[in-house]
This record gives sequence, C-alpha cells and structure tokens, in this order.
Amino acid sequence: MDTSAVDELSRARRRFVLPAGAVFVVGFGSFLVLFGYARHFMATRVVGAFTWAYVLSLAVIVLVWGISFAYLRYADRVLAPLADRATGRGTS
Amino acid sequence: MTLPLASVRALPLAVFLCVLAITLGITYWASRRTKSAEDFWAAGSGISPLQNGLAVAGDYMSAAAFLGVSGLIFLSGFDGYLTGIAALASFVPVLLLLAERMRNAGQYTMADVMAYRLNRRPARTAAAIGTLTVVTFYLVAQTIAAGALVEGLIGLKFAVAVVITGVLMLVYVVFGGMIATTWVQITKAVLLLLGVTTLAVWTLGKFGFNPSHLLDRAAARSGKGDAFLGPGLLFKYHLDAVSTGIAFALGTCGLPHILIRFFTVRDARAARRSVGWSVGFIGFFYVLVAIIGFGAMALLGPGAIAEVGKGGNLTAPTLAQFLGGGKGSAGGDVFFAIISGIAFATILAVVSGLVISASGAVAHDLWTNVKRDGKGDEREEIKVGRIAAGVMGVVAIVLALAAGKDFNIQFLVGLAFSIAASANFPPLILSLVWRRFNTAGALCGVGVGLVTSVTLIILSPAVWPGHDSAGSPFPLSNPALISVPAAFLACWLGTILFGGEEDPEAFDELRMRAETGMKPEAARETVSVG
Repeated sequence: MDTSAVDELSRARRRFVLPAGAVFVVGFGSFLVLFGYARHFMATRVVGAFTWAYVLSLAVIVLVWGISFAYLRYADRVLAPLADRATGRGTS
Repeated sequence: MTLPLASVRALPLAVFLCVLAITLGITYWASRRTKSAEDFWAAGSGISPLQNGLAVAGDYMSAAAFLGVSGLIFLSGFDGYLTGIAALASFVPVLLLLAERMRNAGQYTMADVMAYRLNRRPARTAAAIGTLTVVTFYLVAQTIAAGALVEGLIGLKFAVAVVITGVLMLVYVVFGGMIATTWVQITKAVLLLLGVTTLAVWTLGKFGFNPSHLLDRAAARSGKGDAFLGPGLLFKYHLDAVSTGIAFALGTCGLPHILIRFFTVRDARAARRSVGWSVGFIGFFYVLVAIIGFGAMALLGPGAIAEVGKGGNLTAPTLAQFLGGGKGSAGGDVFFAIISGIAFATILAVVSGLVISASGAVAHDLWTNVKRDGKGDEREEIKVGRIAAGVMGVVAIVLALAAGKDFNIQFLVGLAFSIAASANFPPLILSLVWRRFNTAGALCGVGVGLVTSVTLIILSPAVWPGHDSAGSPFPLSNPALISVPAAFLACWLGTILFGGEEDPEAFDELRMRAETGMKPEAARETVSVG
C-alpha cells in the first residue's frame, strides 16, 4: 500500500470534482432561481413554442449528461491508473 | 354492500396477472440463487453496470415520476416538471461524491460507511434510525399510491389493493432478496422505457412530429396561454421552487434504497459506469415525460381533468386510451391496460427496494452490529432480515390503510426526501471527507436533521392549520432550504463542542478504502468482526 499514491489520487479527484461541482452548483442553482423568481421571463418563447423554461430544462439535462460523461472519461484515464498504483495492482 | 370485485375491468386485470406471473417467476429463480447474506442484500455483487444502471434508473422512475410528473404537467404546466429535472440533477452529487465510495467502503447498508470511522454502535443506531424513518414515509406513500392506482385502474377496492401490493412486495423480498428485487426492477425499467417511448412517439406523431405544434396546442387549450409553458402555476412562493429543487437534488443522495444499489456491483468502476447508464436512461425518460404531460393537454384538453383524478395520476393511462382509439374501443382498452400494468409493475419494484433497504438496516445494523456487537452469524442475519422485511411490510400496509387514500401522498414523499437530504446526507458525506468529524457531530446532525424537517413540514401550509394555508407558521411547502443547512451546522457544532478527535487512523483507513477499493473483503471482516 502506497500512501503517497493515495494522496495523489485524492488530489487528482479534487482537481475534477471541485470545478465540475462548481459548474453544476452555478448552473443548476441559477436554473432554480430563474425558475422561482423569473416567471415571466421563463414563459417567454425562444424557438417556436419552446419557452426559456423548456430550453433551460433541456440544458440542465445536457449539463448533467456532460458532467457525468466527462467524469467517467477522467476516472478511466486518470483516476483508475492512480488507484492501481496506490494498491500495487496494474501495470505501472 | 358491494363485493370487492364488483366493478373489475377484465383487460387491465389480465395484464396485471401477467405482471404477477413474470415477477413471481423471477422471485422463484432468485430464491434458488440466494444463499449467503451477500446474495440477500447485495445480490452477490454480481450485477453488471448496465443492469445496475437500469435498476437505479428504475428506482428513480417510480410511479410518482411517471404518473405523478406527467399528471402535474397536465394539470399545472411547467412547475410539474421541476421535481423531475431536480431528481436527474441529483445524479451529479451521487456520481461525484458517493457512488464509488459507497461501493469501496460499504457492505450492505449506508451505516457501514459511517460506522467505519465513528464510534460504531451509536453511529450505526443513528444511521439506521435515519434509514428507517425515510423508508417508512416513502413506503407508506408508495403503498397508498399503489392502492389508489389499482383501485382506479382495475376497480379493486382500495383496501384490497393495498393488501395485495403489500403481500407481493413481501414475497419478492423475503424469498428473493436483493437478486429478485434487482431483476424485478430491471424488468420494470425496460418495460417502462418501452411504454413511455411508445406513448411519447405516438403523441408526437399526432402533431406531425413537430414538438412546437404540440406545445402551441397545449398552451392554447390550457386556457392559460404561454404561462402554461412557464413556471408559477403550482408553486405559490418564489422560494418554493428553490427549496423543492434542493430537496430533490440532495434528498436522493440520502435515499437508502438508491445507495444500497451500489453494493450490487463488483467494484468502483462498475459503480460509476452504472451511474452513467442511469443518467442516460433517466434523462431520456424525462424528455419523454414532458411530451406526454404537454401532449395530454394538447390532445385531451382541460375537459379530461375529471377523468385523470384529483392529482392527475391517471393522465398517462388516459392519454394511452385516447391514442388507442378512445374509451370503449378495443385499441384504447388494450393500450390503457398495458400502460396501467407497467405502472403497477413500477410500484411493486420500488416498494420492494425500499423494504430490502429497511431490512438491511434492522438485521445488519441494529441486530448483528449493535445488539450482537458484530458476533452474530450470517444465517441468523438473513433470518432477522426476513423477519424485519415482514414486519416492515405489515407496518406499511397497516399505516397505509389507517391513513387512507385521501391522505396527501405528495406530503409524505416530500417528507421522505427532506428527511433523507437533512438527516442522512450530511453525516454520510462528512464522515467521508472531514477528518475531524466525530460521533457527537453525526448524532447531532441526524437528530437536528430529523427534528427540523419533520417540524417544519408539520408547520407548513400542507398540514398547518388545515387546507387553507393562511396563517401557517412556515410558508414553504418543502423545508429543505432550512433543514439541510441546519443539519450541516449541527454536524459541525456537535463535532466542535462535544467530544474531541477520535481515531484519525480509522479516517485514513476509510479514506484509503473509499478511494482505492483496496480489499473490500478485508473491509467486510473489519466491519463485522473488529
């Protein structure tokens, strides 16, 4: 068991989780605030009959998909090799 | 005096019997494969990421999500969509903070993770109480929903429907354990996704596959114009939307029946991949649910409000009936019956997941690790788990019958989510990331989270002083905005004020395990023996 490798793994995880979490909190948080407070704006049409409420809801779905996909890639490419090193498994 | 079978509809009943035959078949098959405690609570950790992704998605795509959200959109426009979007958003914290760590550091229950580094018996007891409280409210809500739904769909009496649902969920759990629960959930998730897709595509087809036309028609027929396509028709206060959003986005991180799903896969990689699949399925599902909700308004019009029930719960089956050719037509009846059968399967699958998480909290936490101090054997643990599942099921049936179908279901579900977000999530996440966190902090967090959320709900417009919300001391319909920060504050204050640093080595060990998944088998022995 390699403790410094575990610390490195924790740091690598934080490097992704903190900014991704911030993007999520700001994105979803502003959606909630607009949803609660900007009723008139949210009921305004953007494209065809799609209102801002609809477009932004779809945008939240895309945001969740994007963050999840990015994390899965990051975890496979960066975190998994570090975890293998920390436990003494794997190739390196 | 009418017979309970007086007004039974034959076709939906036939579809329900098919659902029963399939799920009982799965249970029989699962019961022959359930041998160890790991089989019973974690399906032998042998579920693949795609399968677990479907099962987790199945837990989220409950009857409330399918029938409730589409019904709320039909009745009150965009506000009804918010809980769905927030429930999907909850997967970001689940993926980034919990999924892999739960798999790596836990065994069968949420309490495993907290007890790893805190004073084991009090921490486990507190976590088990949090789990049981959440499960009880959620289970009673789902059982009432099941009774009301089955009554509306096939025409069985409410009480008969509740007892049938309750007995079935017990059969799945007691005989088939987590293997049966998981496969029933997977089967139902696939059926539900197929049903929802058919319904949505068919609806869109009525508008030349142009969603903009559909929305135009929905807004025009609703009588509310473009306001129907924006928020504000359901939530009275501005902050209501924010508080409800927080409750759903964080509450799901504390729902025990979701968290234990990560124990059914092999390792952290499988855990995060299963979240990837779930996010895909659930996002797809909610895109379609909006089409169904708005499509119902566009096609059925406000005249259908009498048909879909007070809460709009029968919106989706009613829309299916319309698409199939209308009431009385063969096509309409068949499509109505199929969508109803899928809704029934959905309820059965979700309540089974709830019961098994409660059974784990009683048998694994309270019995083996608190009462027996980790010395009980595996067969005894399974036996206690089966008895606990039985008791839990009977309690749910009795409470659901006592509350009756007129009890506000949404109130109970909201309570379950708020308690999960306030009492379970803060101590769980802090025991994973905060070195100084201690047992006193965890107990304060669970206690304050429980008391604040329950008190504020009692004082909220839905309950106090009655239907007329005028004069209720707490204005918001959901307390999460206050109770979640209060619980975090209590965790922090409890840690600082009472009790010092305890066992920093255990924290390092937990962190190591949570990060790397080093020897989950060794972790198991430490948890149950040492």
